[in-house]
Amino acid sequence: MNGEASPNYRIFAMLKLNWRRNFLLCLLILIVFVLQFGFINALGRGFFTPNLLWLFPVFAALLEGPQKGMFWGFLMGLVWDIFVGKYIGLNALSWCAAGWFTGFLCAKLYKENYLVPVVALAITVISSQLIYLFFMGILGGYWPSFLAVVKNIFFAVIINSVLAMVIYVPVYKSFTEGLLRKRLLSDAE
Amino acid sequence: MSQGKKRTRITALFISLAVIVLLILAGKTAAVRPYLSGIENGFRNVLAPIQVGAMVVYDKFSAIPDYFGGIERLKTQNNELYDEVYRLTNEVTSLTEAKEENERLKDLLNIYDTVNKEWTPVVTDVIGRESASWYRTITIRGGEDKGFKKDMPAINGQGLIGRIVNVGKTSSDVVLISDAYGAVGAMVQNTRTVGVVEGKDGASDELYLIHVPYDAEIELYQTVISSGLGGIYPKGLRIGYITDMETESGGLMLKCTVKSFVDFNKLEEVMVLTPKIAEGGA
Repeated sequence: MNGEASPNYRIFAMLKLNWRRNFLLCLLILIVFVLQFGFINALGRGFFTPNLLWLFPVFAALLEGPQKGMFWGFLMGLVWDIFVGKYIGLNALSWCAAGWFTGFLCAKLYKENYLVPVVALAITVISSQLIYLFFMGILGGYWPSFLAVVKNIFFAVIINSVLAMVIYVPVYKSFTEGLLRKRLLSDAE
Repeated sequence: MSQGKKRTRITALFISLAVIVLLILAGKTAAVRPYLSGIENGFRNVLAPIQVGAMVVYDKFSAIPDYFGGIERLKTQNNELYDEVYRLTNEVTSLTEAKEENERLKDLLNIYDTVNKEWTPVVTDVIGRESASWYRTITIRGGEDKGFKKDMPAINGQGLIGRIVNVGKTSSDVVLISDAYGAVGAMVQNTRTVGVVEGKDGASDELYLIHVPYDAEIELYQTVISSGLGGIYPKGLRIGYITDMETESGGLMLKCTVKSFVDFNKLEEVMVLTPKIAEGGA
């Protein structure tokens, strides 16, 4: 078997080729964690609190498809679960499903439109929160009132949509032609 | 079976297993747990210094609008003072009433004595707020290192805040009384009418006093205190005052809206009440 064509070789070659992108992504995640858990949660008021972690599955689903949306949804949901300390795994599950769902629904959308991140974020937030509440009700027996659900999800969508719209353009540019652009092996050859 | 179908089945099986495992894990962690797992402890220990630093920066920045927003602050203070005047007027009127009320005041003094005898307040500060989900919790500095344990009450100068639900090595989570899981046995101070104070919904700081008989002598601005029933909170801790009341759908019970004395959005220092008996025994 030719060693250069093996899957392991391809993975290492991709990692080597994209080391700068991966390093930047790690740095970005670290900054987001510090901002979210250090500052934003302290500054926010209830559902007027932006959640930067939601942006990862939303942008991943939009720019890289449902599977990446699912992966980032799971990862960030799990981090959020560990921070919250209740129903561990439920945010991972709901964000994961929402990430896939968003990627699936937004696959045909024209990505260079300002409204795209708003739509994607709304789908992610609404679907993830509904899944979360459904299982929270089944597992813990806590069913918030319909008005509270509508109000809270509405504000969460509004505040995070504004955030997504502002951040989307630089992220999109960076993913397509900037530092976060994924380089393929064919680019190197 | 073709290779594609086999792969699809394996993927479906893997996803189903993952969903089941996550749901079991969520079910296991749904209830309040006395201790955190190693991963959660590690995560919080890493997070704690960041949160402390962030709170310092936040406090500095939050002082800037205060400096420039003097008029707004005065307006707010004025409104708060009006509320205070209403409450104090009500209290003064009550104090000048009959002998019965004097008895109640004596009882109140006894309550404070009881609290002082049985509990030692440990002052600590808030290092994080969990405000972006369906729960109302705060993270405080100190956990096992300060002798904190699950269900210890947390108060501040204004009144009752909540109780400890998770204890880490160096930090603890306090569920606020405005949380759906933070219900407190309570009573109206003047009339001794017993009820339960619970959060209004998952995302606001408003409280309800429920399980109150429809014929109870309830008036606006009456003070609500903890009843001591339930065994977690000591009797006589100030909770809030009644701002509204309505008859519940069945018509047999009253539901009163309670404005908490504590501003849950501005919590900085809290006192955790540690039982003196436990300290002596330890």
